[in-house]
Amino acid sequence: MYRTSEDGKHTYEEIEPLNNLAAKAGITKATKVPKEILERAKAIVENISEEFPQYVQEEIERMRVMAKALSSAGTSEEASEAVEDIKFAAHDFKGQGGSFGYPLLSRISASLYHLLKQASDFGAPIQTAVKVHIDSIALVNSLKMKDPEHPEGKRLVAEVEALTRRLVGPLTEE
Amino acid sequence: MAFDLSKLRILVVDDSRQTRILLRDILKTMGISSIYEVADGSKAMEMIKMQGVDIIIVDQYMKPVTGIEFLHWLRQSPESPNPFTPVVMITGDSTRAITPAARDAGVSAFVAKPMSVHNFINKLMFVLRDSRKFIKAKTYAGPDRRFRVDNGLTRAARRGGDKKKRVNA
Repeated sequence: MYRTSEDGKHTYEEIEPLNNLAAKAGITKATKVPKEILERAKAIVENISEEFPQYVQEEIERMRVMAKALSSAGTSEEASEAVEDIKFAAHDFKGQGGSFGYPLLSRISASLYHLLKQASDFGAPIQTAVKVHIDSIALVNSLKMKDPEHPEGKRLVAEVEALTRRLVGPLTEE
Repeated sequence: MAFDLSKLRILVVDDSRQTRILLRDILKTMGISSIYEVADGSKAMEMIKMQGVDIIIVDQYMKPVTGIEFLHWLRQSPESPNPFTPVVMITGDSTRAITPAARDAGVSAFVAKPMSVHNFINKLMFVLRDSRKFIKAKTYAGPDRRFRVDNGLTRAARRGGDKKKRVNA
């Protein structure tokens, strides 16, 4: 059915999609997800959370290779490529660290992501800051720091965030 | 009706192997066995041309095709096999820039990272029950962004709080 917007400026088509998913899934508005399913799903997250440091360790090795590639980049294209790769990995950790119960790791990764997103050049100061961030992620990961109030972890986060602020300005969300 | 999600077919699009494992295991726990996985938006395009799916769960930050770019293609491209497919976007970028862009691209629901299992399952249940109409306009294709919480009020009435303008009362 074609309609006109309330301000009369636009026309649009309104389509009744055949959403038969509720029927297909056997649910109604009143259906609640069974408690045992929720409990089992929570247990899955906890299990994967235990394996998370191993996964991070493998990724850190990759990040170190990328950081080396950034330091030895001969052209701006090579540098951009390395930066994009590190930024991508940092963004990954930023989201996953929180989801898997490693908030400090998530914050350091967010700082690294912000650093690379805002930097206008990728010279020695940025390269050093990248290494500091990767080393900090490695430390937090090796100690499996889950507690957001861990004193050493908090100090580390404060240091890398200060470094990022000094180099590229305030840390903001996107 | 019994809670039985076993007939659903779900596509998970995420470049992170760890997140794909997490989502797949949660979906399996919910009784869903037809779970397809790809690592980016371009592979998702190929996949859904070959395999019909009921719901797509997509990450935003992927290379070479992002979640939002995929969403635009799904909703608007003549090549898209089913523009109506519900899409749940999972992103660590649920911020000022990304949220409106994803809504404008026709996302059905959002799950912000860090992801909570409860929130993810709730959003999945939401899209299963979602009865919003599909809007196709010059600049937008996707679920009606005006959620049906207005009790039948016109936009002017919603803004002005004038209940006399109720249209379906």
